[in-house]
Amino acid sequence: MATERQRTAPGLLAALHQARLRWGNPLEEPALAELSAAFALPPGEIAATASFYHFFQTPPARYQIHFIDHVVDHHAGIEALCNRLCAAFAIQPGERTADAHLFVGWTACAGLSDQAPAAIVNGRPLPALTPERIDAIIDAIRAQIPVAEWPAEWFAVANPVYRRGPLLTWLHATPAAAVLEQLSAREPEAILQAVADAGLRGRGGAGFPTATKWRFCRETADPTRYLICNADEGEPGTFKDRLLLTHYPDHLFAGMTLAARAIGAQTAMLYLRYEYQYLLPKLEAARERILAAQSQLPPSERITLEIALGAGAYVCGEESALIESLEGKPGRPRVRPPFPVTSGYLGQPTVVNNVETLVAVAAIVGNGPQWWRSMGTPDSSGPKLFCVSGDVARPGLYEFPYGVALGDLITAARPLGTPYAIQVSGPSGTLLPATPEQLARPLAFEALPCNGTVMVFDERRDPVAIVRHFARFFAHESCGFCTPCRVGTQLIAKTFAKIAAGYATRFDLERLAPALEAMRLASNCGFGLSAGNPVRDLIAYFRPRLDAHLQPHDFLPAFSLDAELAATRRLTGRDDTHAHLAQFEQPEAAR
Amino acid sequence: MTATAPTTTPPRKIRIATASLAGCFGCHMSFADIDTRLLALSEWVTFDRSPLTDWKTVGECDIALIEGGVCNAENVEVLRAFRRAARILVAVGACAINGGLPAQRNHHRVEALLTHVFETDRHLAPGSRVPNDPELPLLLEHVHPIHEIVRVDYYLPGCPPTAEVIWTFLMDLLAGREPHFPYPMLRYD
Repeated sequence: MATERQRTAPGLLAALHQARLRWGNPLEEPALAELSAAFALPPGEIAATASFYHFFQTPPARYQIHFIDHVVDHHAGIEALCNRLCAAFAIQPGERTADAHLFVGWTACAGLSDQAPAAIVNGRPLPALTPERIDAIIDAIRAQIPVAEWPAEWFAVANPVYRRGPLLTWLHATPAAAVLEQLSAREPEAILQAVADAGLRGRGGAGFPTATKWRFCRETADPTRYLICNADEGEPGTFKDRLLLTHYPDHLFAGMTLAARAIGAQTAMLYLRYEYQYLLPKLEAARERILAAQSQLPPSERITLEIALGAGAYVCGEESALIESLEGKPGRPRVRPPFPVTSGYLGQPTVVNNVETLVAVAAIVGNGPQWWRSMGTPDSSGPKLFCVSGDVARPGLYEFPYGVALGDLITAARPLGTPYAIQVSGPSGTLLPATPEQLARPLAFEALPCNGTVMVFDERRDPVAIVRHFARFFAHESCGFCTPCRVGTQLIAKTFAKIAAGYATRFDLERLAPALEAMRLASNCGFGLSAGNPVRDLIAYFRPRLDAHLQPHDFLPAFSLDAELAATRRLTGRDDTHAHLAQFEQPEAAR
Repeated sequence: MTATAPTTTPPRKIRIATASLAGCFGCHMSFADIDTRLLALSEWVTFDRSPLTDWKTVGECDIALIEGGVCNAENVEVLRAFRRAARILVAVGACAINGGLPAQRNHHRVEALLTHVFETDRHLAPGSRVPNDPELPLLLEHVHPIHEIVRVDYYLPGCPPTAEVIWTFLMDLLAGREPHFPYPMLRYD
């Protein structure tokens, strides 16, 4: 185990991104040979690491377009837009044109839920797509116009804020320079105490008390420590960190610096998801400003700030998987304990905090813990950013104090129809019916936990189809390390594919139940634990809607029997009645 | 020989049907390996359609023992008929349980296999073609275990299951007990 931990290759992820720019595909020679020599790892191990990440597997092409495979985008008609583009070049999604100019595929939610339907081209976002925009893109590709020369408005990501509270008001009003002043002469213990007094809890969803995590790390004997800011924001429907990264990067780097000082870390790293790489220039400039602001401090007190870019893996939002990824390995959650606060990046004590958490740290240091505590509930103190999307007139960001009723948040976003189902905290959270008693529940760790993500669905939407999208997402994003999750996520996805095909019966749900139980109890990380939540909620709250999809038969095959005969029909040239099979058995006659 | 025969005579004889789909008949042979106990069994049960009887169509029965996976259209139709007819349907042997060794053909395209054997093999007469008479059932693209086509009530593992497992299973069902297989009887090979 110790030797396994020592096998690190920090910088490999960045090198794989560079190899992609230079060679096209980091999974092939000569990129592998060069990386193998540089990192002293066998080529196969480098290829295995690269193959873990979605965006390293895209076939090289001048135009690489990934449409967003997310429920909100599907409701906004993404499939028709994808087909429109594919048809123009006579390819299927997941294929490349014969001249290797264009690749079209799918990808998970890219943090653009409020601007669906969307896509990514060569790493850059294409929000709010329309058929006309697709036609313009087709023309641009045909004319071989480089993506860098496409109209800037095609890439413009808006960050609509519909409700500002004290936090966003402070962020907006406090210039970066004022934040920088707070950096000097801050005793680590004073920072830690302020955050403890504020009662700040993690904004990444888990809600662990931030100061407690810091103290665990600070109390370790090892003097070399790391602070990592988790900007992987991969949970479908979540885009709150995008706003903070876009508009308040100085405040974020200030928060990172304060947190690093509080835990005695010398280095603070920002792990940014691949899909947000368009923000890199902005973030780089903010990083420079904060570094410059530290120059008046004695060298021993300066914090090194780094930015690392992910490569497409939702599971890398799990803190130990994120660390593995930074160490140049596949982003698979570690076997814990030891937890990262004891043994994290490069085996050193490491704290991983979400973007919103670290911005909150800057705000708490700036305004004092009492200011923070005056908002929210006693257990969930402070303001919270909520990102609302789906069937609402105003998809975007809302600041409310923790403890706001779910219904009040949704009303603020102006539902288009009558809300029918609400996904709270992304697919990992809870799917609820929009009943008065559910809408009255307060969003807080002690009541209805929420990482800020709320997706609203009205009566037009089928909860079964919604869960099918999530099931596919979990199946795709599972890291494949532990048995119940690797297999179980596939079993759920297959069950919902069977439901969609119209072949499912009650027995299929009975047979799925033990797998759900194993995933809930025996998974190695929170991903496997959560992946069964959508189907759990569907059964608990939407049983009649689910039952309406089930056939009355005792059992039906999951695949089309007649389609299975197509190959031999072709080969033998037959089309007689015996060359076909019925899917549904004839109703039983009297025997 | 731990299992015991029913202590009381059932009101009517239990009716058993058996079938081989994509099987090798080895599970039926392992059934016959209960040896002279077959004579005792014949006192307690009646056989419906089976490779061992002359019944051409399956009739209503209590137990259907199915060996073999599902590899062609006729297998599907026979399996469905047995499922409709039988109260308890049993997957016997590795092939019925998970497709068995024949499912190794799932690594290949079925057209390539048929063409290889019936057209391109160098020992064939010139002009040999893949058989295409409608009398012949068409192969499915893949071999499937029977539980992918119909509901299964019990599984008897082994390639083949031991005669002891088959005997114990039948004695349990005849006596109205829930089947129980002691560890030493279990095998998958």
